[in-house]
Amino acid sequence: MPLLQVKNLCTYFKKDAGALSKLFGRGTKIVRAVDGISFNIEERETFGLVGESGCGKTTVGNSVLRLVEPTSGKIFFEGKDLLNMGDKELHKFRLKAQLISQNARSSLNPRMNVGEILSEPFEIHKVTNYEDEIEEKVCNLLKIVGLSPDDANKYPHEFSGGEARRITVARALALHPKLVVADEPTSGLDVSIMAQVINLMLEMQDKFGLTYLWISHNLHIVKYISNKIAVMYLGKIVEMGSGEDIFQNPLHPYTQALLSSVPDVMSNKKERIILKGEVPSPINPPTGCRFGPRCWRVNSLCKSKEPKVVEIENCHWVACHRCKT
Amino acid sequence: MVDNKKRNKHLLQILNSFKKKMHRQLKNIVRIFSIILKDRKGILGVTIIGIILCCAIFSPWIAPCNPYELNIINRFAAPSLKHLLGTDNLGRDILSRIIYGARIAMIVSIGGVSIAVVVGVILGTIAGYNVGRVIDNGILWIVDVIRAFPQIILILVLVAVLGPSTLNMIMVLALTAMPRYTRVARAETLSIKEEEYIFAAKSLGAKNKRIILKHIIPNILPPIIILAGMDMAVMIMIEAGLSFLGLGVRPPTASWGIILRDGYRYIRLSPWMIIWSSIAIAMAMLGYSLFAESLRIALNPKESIEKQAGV
Amino acid sequence: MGKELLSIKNLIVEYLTIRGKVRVVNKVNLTINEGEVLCLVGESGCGKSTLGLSILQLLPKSGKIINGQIIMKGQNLLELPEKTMNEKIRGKEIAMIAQDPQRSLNPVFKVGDQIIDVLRFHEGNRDQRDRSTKNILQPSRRKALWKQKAINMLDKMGIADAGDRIREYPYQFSGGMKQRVVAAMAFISNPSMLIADEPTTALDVTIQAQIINLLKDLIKEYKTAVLYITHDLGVAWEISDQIAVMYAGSIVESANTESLFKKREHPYTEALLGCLPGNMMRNKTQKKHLNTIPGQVPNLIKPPSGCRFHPRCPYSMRICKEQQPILREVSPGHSVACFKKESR
Repeated sequence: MPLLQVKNLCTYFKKDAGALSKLFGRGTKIVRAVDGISFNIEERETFGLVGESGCGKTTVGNSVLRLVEPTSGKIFFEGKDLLNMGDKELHKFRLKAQLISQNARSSLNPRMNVGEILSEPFEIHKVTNYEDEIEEKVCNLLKIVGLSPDDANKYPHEFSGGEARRITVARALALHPKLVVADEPTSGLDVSIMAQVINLMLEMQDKFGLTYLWISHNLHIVKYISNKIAVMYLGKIVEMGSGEDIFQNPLHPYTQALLSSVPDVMSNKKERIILKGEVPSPINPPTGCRFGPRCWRVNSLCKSKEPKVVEIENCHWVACHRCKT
Repeated sequence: MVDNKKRNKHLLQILNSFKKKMHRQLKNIVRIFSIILKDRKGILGVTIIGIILCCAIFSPWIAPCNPYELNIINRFAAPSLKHLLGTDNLGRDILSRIIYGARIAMIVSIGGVSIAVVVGVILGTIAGYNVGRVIDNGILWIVDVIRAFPQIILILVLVAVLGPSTLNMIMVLALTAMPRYTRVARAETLSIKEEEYIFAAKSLGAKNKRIILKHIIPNILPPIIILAGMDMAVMIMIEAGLSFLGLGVRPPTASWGIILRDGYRYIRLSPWMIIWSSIAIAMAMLGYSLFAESLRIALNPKESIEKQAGV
Repeated sequence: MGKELLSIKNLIVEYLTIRGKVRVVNKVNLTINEGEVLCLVGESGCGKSTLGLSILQLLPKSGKIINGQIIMKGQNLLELPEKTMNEKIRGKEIAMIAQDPQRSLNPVFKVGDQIIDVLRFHEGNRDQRDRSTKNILQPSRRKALWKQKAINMLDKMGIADAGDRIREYPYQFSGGMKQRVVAAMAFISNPSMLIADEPTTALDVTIQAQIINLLKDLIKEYKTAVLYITHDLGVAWEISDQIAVMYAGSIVESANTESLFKKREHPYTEALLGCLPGNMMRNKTQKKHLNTIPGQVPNLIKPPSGCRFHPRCPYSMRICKEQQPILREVSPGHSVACFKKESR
């Protein structure tokens, strides 16, 4: 049974219009951040979620952890219905599913030192009442992520970007969760530090048997670490499959454009697909296929009907009218 | 027996961690003071407040004479060796009265501001943290009603109704100052609420109470502290004003406002009372303002780093 | 390429911090030729942004240029008075595109006004002459001329409906479009050199591709020399003719792009390029880990003795701890600062 099952997840945000707009009939706007997403993650798997800003991938991560209330759809964690859980059960769920936020620095309270930050998970879940036990656990955590126990007295601003990232990883792993949603864990880091952090997270995965939902826009990294990848555009999954499928045989035009835009060292990409225009707003998505306005293969069917996610090849799904076998 | 031992060990640990926390806070305060003292404004501000505080705390030892001792024969005397600032309309030593007056000034300003801050911050964070529109709007409504009245008039009316006394004055000043803190606390809470570390705390499973106490309040304190510093200056002035109008401290208690009032009445006979009380009030306000300004620089990380580096 | 345009000689820049003086740029020598794109590559804290800011003397209060010369068209820029720097150099001879487009534009002014502002500042002092009659233009005609120039520039940058969009405010533009506006402001005075400090780091991948394409076209058209500062090696490969790799305040390798990526002479360059996942894919069975550079970027307050990379270098020898290597040519057009490579 997959660890996480997501079926038709929709998360909409209401953008309240001011009084004047309401007067003119332009009521409340709805931001369709996530609009009908389905996927499964098996235990110990790394599931990569790629897309550019505005595609809704961060919202997917937050919805799966119920940090943001989904509007509709179903989420099953270890077989249990997540959206209908009571408070107590939700509290227990938090023990098993953790978040590594996008910006490491700002996800650390600037007025708490590292020791306090890392003790917090233990204090919240009342793992133990004894201070020295908590201190011991904190020291262990720091050692596991490659920092020294002396760092427990320092404040977040005294650390570099890579070290701050390690602290957030330590915090997420404190309670030995099963699922870790890693939202852009390597953004803003230098190449060599990125490599260190990725190695660390892979090590942790092997050691603790973790399952990662890895959200990123860095295609090289996603290709390296993921077992399965899903590409998102404007709130929907446009293509999903294994690393080889996506990178060696991208079927959806957006995936192709995305892969071609990434600057590759030592490549001779003369033919570059340069997309026109910008990503449309999730408030008023285009009718029919959402990628239509920027797609070079668009036809009349694409403009009128939204394509469904269909399994084109074995374990390779695409949502595109022009990609039929 | 074993249970007792465990409990004692537990209590000891709580005490230990408390000590550690206090130690850290102390280090923090020392660091901030060292930044303040690198700047001329800061040194002046801290010195003035220091002097006034000393006068307030150690008045029985510093004051040369008894501030209540009447000596009508010697009234309206000019400054002399015996009475460094002269005597007032009842022959009392002005210097001693001013020194004792510092007590009233400090008690009223510190007391009033403290109550205003505590109540204001609690109400403001509750209102800002989205515990429900009803509560948020309710608190805002109360606060706005208080703010709708011109501050001076509200103070006058309340004091007139409740009767002049030190305690009443503190309460009233706190009430009229509170709305500002509620507003600031609410605004800061609203913006901090969206910060990623709050989100991270929620994802760990932290409940609202914990988030407010441990994450939000420590981070909204800087603007509140600075506001408090400036407010103390204002409160000294209001106290003086109230006492001047006879609505504050009751005579014969020595307060700067009362000295000012008596000096005003007898200005033709002796200017010294007005001069010295005005100087005292002005100095206190200056000291607090300078201190608040350097505190602002010290608490602003970017500016404080430049200051510390000596740039 | 063309002849030498900008030459940096022995530049030393220090920052004053709480913990002491930090030498962020350490005796750097760099030359940019006309029409050439030189990419300055390095990780955070290596001093590349500081180098870019020093050229325009836009360092923060705590930064000081201790020594060195920056010579452009025969003049040492560091000796020019602030007024001349402002009027003749900044935004005119040398333009700059910064990293965050959000912070480069003033949110309370219309985009068109901000572009016209550049023209007003640099051309406003001279009297403009009408092309046909050679009479001095009235202020209103001048304004109209500038407005037209701004519209043309925005159009060239790929912003549709430029005529309408110049009346809009920055918040109405997306990140990529804001960067195009900034590029318009940079190129409108036809500068001989452009300093681009990580201009696409804050943008999405597909938008980054658009902007890089745009920059390539503009560079070809205006024949501007570019100092492109980035930490993204892929972008460096895409856009540059020459690359200089910086580490802890010094340039460790400098060569033409293809040569640098192929030969990777300096151990740091080699290690850096080795960290990239490239085309690797990790299977469940194969436990492959990424190559990393052991250790951390050195503390520049107390930098390591001798070569600053030696603590992390797999080839370090005794001399590396004692002396600092200087950039020396090891093959035509390819210089390295490394004792190991020199000894060959």
